[in-house]
Amino acid sequence: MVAPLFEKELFWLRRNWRAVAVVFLLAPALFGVATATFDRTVPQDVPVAVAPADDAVTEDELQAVAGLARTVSAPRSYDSTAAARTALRRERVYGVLTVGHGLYESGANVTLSLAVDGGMVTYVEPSLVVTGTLRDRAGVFPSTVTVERRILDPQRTLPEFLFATGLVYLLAIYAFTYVPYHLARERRVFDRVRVESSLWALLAAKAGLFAALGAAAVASMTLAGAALGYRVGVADPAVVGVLALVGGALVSVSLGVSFLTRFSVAGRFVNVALLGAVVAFSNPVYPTGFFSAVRRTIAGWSPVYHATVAVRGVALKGLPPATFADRLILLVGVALASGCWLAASVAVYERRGRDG
Amino acid sequence: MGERADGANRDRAADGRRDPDSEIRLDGVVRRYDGVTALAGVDLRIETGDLHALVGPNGSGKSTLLALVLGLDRPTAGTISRPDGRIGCGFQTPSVYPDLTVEENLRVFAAMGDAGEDWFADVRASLGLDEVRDRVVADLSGGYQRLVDVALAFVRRPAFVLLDEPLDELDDAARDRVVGFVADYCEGDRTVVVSTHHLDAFGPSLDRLTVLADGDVRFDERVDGSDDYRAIYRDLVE
Repeated sequence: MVAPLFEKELFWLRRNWRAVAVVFLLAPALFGVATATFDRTVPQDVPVAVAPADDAVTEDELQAVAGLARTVSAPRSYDSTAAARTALRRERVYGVLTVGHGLYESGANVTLSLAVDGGMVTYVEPSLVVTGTLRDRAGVFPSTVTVERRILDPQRTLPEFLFATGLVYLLAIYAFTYVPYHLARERRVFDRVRVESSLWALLAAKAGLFAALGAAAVASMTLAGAALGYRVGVADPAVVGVLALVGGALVSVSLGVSFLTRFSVAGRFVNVALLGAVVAFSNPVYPTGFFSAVRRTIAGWSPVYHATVAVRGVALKGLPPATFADRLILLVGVALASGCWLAASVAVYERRGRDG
Repeated sequence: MGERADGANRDRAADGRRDPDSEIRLDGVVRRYDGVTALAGVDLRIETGDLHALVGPNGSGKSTLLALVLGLDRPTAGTISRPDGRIGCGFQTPSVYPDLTVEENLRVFAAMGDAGEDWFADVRASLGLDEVRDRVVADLSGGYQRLVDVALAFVRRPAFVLLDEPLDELDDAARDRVVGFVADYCEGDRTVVVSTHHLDAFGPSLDRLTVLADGDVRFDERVDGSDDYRAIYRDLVE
């Protein structure tokens, strides 16, 4: 009695080998590959700025300190503390190591000061590894070296940090799961909509619906945050704008996949795989480079990472959106490209003929 | 019968009642996919005011032809011309919003036109949907879902309506309602094309019959209620 039904499963397998390959071959393999990008738990590849405290500091001194810091960070040289601080605000670096003059002068007192952003909560404690290492190795200099660490305002709590960071990831989850599911539920009416109206009109209506629902979600989070006493400006217009941009881009990508795969099971799993990749590689919680240099590079390709930085900067740290102009321009470009991807997918969907 | 039908066509053309720009016209339409020829050079006229039946065995190309006329598919070769304005459509698999009620489905598509509240109520009542108007479509039987699909084809009161298997899954009473409604709709300038295996049900009201087989038009004539459609079909196809 089992054999015929097992044979049925083989028939099914032959008919659906593409979906099966995605779910049971590609996805596990990608998961395995993804683990390779988690190299260490010491923040060795987190970018930290090395800048002179004043004009008297020599290039040799900067290089020497950078060399010391290299075992626990990815040092980047800056000409001035001001430039380094700007990079810190923009999350191009996660700490600013200011180097005083006189490292090679016997009897001189030199201070190495690491400033970290109080809003980048998940780097505040790991930064102790940097100062600890510098302290341990400062004996190589003839001068007396003092290593200090300063936490810059605004200081935030871990819940506040996760609250702001989680917004974009919540959006990604909706974009890659609920929205394609919602549209797939109505797939049987697509032919009628194409005749009576157009798929673009349908998508415009969906955009209106999800914009309203997104606004409701932001309002709900704002209320929850206020009730918990969080100091996070989730409803800031700039935050809403960034969320709209990245949300539009992610939804366009997921719906493009859905249309191109004609809302098949394989398409659903491709979207889940994309969601997994977004969550795994966009550095939602830790600074870029926390686990490996590869992850830092990959995060740079992820619009979700750039959106997270911008949202965190505005909502959590109260920075003006212009601070993240380069990232916002990138997001606009990604949103436009995603829109083109969706348009092409819909065109292919229509060109392939009718459903049913 | 062929002579009588041809004569009727000539009469209509001669007295100028038919405007060629207001008809649906297929010229040399070919549709191939994946090595299969669904339509192999179809020439066809769908004139205004007709109840026009499109029949043929399974896989003869009926649904493909309707999809092409509706613009849901593109011909591999040949041309299709349609009059201005929307064409109403009923689908082989009911094309309805499953999560909406019957009334909400009808409202959504009625709002795309301006047929008026009286017509809206007339369509709903004539097709027997009043009693389920507030039920969610996904919870209805296949027959009711079919009726909703048919109602959606007419709710904007379009000049042309194409119906693909509109009687499938319907009980006898519902079939009679649909056939009666379609026949009444064609009084005047409005046209309904039905792709169907239920030729007998529509027979007495038919104005034109087209038989498709293997992607070709085997028969395309004006008819009247007295014709023996089964015999015509059997001779051509079986």
